[in-house]
Amino acid sequence: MSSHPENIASYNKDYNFRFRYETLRSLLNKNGSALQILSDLEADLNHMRHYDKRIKRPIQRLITESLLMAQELNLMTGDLYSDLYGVILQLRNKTDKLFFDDQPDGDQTLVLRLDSQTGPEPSLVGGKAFGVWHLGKFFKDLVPPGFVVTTAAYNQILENNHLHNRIRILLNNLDVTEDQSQFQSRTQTIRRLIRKAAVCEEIESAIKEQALLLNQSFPGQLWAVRSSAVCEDGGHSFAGQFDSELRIKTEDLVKAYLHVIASRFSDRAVKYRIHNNFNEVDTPMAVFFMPMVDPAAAGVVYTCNLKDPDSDTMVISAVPGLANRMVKGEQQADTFLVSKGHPPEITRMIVAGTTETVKDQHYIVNEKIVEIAEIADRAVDKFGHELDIEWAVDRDGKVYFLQARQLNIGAADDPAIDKISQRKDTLPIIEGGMTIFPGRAEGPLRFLSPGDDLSGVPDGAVVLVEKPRPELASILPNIAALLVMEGNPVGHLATLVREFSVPCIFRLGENAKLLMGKNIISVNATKRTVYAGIRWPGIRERVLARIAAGNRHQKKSGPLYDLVLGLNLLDPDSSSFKAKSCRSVHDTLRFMHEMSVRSMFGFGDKQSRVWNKKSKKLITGLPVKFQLIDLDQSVPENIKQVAPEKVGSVPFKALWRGISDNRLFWPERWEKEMRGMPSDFKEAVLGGNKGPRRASDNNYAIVARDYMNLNARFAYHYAMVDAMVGPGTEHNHVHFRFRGGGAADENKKRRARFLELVLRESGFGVDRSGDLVTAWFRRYPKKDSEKALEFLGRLIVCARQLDATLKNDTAIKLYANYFIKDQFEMFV
Amino acid sequence: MTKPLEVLLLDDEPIVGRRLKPALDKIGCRVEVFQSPTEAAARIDEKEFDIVVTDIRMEEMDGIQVLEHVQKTWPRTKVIMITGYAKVDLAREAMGKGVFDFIAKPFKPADLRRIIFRAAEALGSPIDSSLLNDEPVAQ
Amino acid sequence: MSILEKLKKISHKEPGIRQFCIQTIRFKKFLENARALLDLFNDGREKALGEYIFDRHYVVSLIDRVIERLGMMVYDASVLVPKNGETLYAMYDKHKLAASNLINFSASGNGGVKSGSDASEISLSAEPEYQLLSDVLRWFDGKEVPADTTVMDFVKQTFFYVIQFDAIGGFESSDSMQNRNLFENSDVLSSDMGIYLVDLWKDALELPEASRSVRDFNSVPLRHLLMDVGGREATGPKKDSNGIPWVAAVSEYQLSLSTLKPDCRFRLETLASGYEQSDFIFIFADKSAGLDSILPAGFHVESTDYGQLAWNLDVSAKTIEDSLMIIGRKLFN
Repeated sequence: MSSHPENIASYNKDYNFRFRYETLRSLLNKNGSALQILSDLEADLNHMRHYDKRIKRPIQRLITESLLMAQELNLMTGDLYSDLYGVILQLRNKTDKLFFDDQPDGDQTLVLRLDSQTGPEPSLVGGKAFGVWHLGKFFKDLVPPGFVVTTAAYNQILENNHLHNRIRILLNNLDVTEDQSQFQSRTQTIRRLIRKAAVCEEIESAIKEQALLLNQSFPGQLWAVRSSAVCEDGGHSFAGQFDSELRIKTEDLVKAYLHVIASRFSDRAVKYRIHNNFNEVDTPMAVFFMPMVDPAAAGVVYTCNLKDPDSDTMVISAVPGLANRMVKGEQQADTFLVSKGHPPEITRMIVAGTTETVKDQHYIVNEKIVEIAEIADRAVDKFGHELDIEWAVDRDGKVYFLQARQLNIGAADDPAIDKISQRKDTLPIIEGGMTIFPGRAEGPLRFLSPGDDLSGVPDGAVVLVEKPRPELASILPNIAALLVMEGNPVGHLATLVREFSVPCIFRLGENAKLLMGKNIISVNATKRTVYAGIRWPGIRERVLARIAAGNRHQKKSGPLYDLVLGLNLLDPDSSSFKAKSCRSVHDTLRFMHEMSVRSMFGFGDKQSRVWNKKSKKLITGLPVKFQLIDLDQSVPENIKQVAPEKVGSVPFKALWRGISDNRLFWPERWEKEMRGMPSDFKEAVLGGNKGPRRASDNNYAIVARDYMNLNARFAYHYAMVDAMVGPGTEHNHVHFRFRGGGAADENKKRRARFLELVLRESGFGVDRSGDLVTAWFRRYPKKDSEKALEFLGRLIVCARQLDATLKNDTAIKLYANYFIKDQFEMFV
Repeated sequence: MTKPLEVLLLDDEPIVGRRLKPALDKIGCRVEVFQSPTEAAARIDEKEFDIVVTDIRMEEMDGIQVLEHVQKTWPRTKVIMITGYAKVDLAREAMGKGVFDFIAKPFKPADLRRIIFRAAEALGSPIDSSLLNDEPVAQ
Repeated sequence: MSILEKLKKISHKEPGIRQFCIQTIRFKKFLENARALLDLFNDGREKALGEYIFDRHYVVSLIDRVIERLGMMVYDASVLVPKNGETLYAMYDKHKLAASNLINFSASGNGGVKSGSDASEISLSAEPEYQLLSDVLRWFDGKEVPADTTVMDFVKQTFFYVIQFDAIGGFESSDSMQNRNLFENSDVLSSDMGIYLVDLWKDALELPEASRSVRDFNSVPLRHLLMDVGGREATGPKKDSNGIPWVAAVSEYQLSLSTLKPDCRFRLETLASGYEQSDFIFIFADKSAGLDSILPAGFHVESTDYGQLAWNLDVSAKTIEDSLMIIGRKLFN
């Protein structure tokens, strides 16, 4: 740098410039680390409570970074955003308060007998064990005494074996993996790790002690070791999700315990938790140990007939010997229908797997069935609700009740019951109409008249209406199926039904009124048939899973989400996008990132003249304009235009390779050729993008040897690419943000979902909030980062053209496949 | 005379082979060194190795592909992955597929030897443990 | 108005407690970055001892990380002492160039080692990766190189710019009257001792309504600093002829103690959170401050023309707490 006086002025200006760039860099770097902390926090909260000390440090770190970022933003903009300080400091004070909000540690007992008068904490012993205790309280002689290895013990064992973290890593991103074999190998690894875990002395001897105590009353004892998870048998039924280990010898108890714990990570169980949005930390598992009864007969009592809840009938299913296979659905049971009364009376007995009725069975006498029904009836009184009770009768004729849980009317997941009600010869109540969207669904029926309050419609309901009213759109994401008596299949609601993929039949006609008064409805929208009752096992779960998946973004709540993780500021163009509107740390990060980038490209303000003077035009035949701002001579000096090959910036070149890929199509090229054609023809061919197609807008990119930051605005779309690609990997990152405009909401959302899909397939981490897609690709070596940038280049070009192309949801997957397979011609 | 442990070492950086081979020879391994994944794969087709030590990230083929190839051909073989990057995700993926263990570069030969020792044990042909202790203690 | 002018403007008008707090937090960040840089040097040194197997990628990535971290440190310094920013960046650019040369001129491959040759014939120092690493270490902290060309020299230089320029909101230390006015007017004087007490996060948001005593602060390091102070025989910090001579800015685990005495510099920074990877204690003092008589054992000390730097890293929170008690006793009694 020369020291001639006439250069000092420009030298100072250069430092000014330099300082501003370094400030931007520092801010963007901090933003990157902050986003990483945020996503780790989100994963952490799956496994830890918000007041856990281990959460505190990253949060404080996060807020410190934000505060310094705010200083940097204000340095860049001359204190335009000093409001941010107050916001961030306030957030720090609030989160500090949260950590003083220490939850009492609660009972940390590791092993607990189940026979005390005072009830154990359900969160300590789990739903099933709690139910057993409850049953035992009322029917002491009927319930074999047992003990529980608590959720506190579970947590301790995982902790001592360093499993929390390993499980967390293995479960990471599992909800978005489409790769079945990867899913399976991960869960298998977790199960393996658990089965090999070391159980500390304290727990092991407590187990032995309890077992010995009980052995005194039941010598030569074999044990039943069963899962008792928290959240089980409460609002959500995990029934049958976990394993039991039966006929276990006392010396094998610990091993059986570990096997039962491991079953918490069976494929099925993990999927269930993911689909229903259950956190790991909220669903620990206790295990209860009960002496085995050697049964002559065993089975299940439903104190209410689900097929006909008002008929005052109980359903008792029975098998000879143990009932575990029956409960799993592997064995057919004999069914007794017993009318409630004093005394109860067997009204029918159906032999397993048939429709025959017989008088009695060889392994259990009818008097026993009546005895069981009587006790069950008393239990219903004591509990105050209908019950699902597991029973056994030993060889001496003694009746035992082994488990009891609330019977969910209208949500029977028990495959045994499903087998009872599934009668393929049942006729549909109604047939016909028009399929608007195919698929099967079932759920409780709700008839809605105009003016009915829609907020009362439960998730997973089958909704019946007379006419298709547009306001029904608001409940579409949450219902199982939609039945409409009249209706125009090309109307607005029909479009929405398709967008939300809700099985739906229109034009059912007046006959649909026959459905009213039915409890549960099964709909086959493909075949246009509707049945009463439950017809297909598993469908309901799938429906609820779909609904839950759709709701995933809204479901998170809690003080940490509100203060730290939640993103409220979505639309940078809205007037509410300001410092004072930031409610969470995430909001402030988003705000600062957006403002810092804008300030570098201050359109129309004094600064941009400085930038304009320094920027160089990229020479290209493509219908885009790029101005490059060079920070460390990656662009040859003293020239006003530069060819892409001459740009020394590694990331920029990679991105450009993608953008200029000659397999891509540019409608603007067509536009030139189409001059002179009638405008509606042009419109139809070029796509329905209403509004000026401003290919003439300038796009600015800041480049340096190993860094680039691009903000591209074209015809209402906004794409941001920020990348650092150096020879090392530690600090390499590729960040991408896309927000599409100029289209109807549904189209924007579809495009966002398209982007999410292809980005994830290519190894990016993705967050989608409405129609804003954020993606990242961090810490990969140079070659991978360059490939990711090339990919983004192509993606940006193709995404612009998607407005009209994605007409419905199936198109999303279709086009995603085209893109991944490089079939770019499909994007015209 | 116990059979020497047959080890295949694959890393596209020559320094790794040069420095590791003597370290492993010392504990009674018979080491074949490769820098090209395709050549290594061809050799694996010909011969069953007890242990394969491979880098995760190589130009031609990545370590996971090598792992899969080994597992398909000789399921008994223990595979150890060398990783030079903080690519935990990749590591996890491999862990799920049955990698015996990992070691991150830069590492001390003694560290790898300890892993090999365990692998040998797992194979049922343990190495004489006294051979492990001839390393001068670092520092 | 240019950024520099704006910064000068900010630093000369009443910046308020908020700016003071933010700059204190920024200084902490500066120290954190410096520490991370030292860790990188140590890492390289350890690998060069001969035990480790590493590849060229490791060395290149080390260089890369050092430049990155150095840049972060320089940036923080340029915010703390804007008038030196330009100089600092010029020096930084030289190091960037040196780094780039190290990478590019060694990229030519094996440099004489025949492939397939028996490893035992090749001494370690002939391995190109080791050669590169030792070049890199020389660049970090070599003794036989011309003065002021190593990264370590640069780091020290940066420190002295930052410290000299009393990092309290960017004031010249001769402006101590202005400093005192700031604290006096903000009602942060402790109710029971002659020291200004600032809660880094709370006071930055809103000034306190009533005066607070040391006990009102939930700060582990502050408590330990003043634990043996203010008793029967000891009097603790008190007003002197120039007013209150000390200010302590604190949070739960942080303490930043500076003197307001004119023409004297003393600064103590510490983090004692129990998380050893980030805990540290750092002190800078003018020669006139007599650091030697205050410092407990165990500190790494560097004496220079500008003053003395002392620090203790990789140390348990308990050790820090004990050190603080000793320092507090000696400083204030």
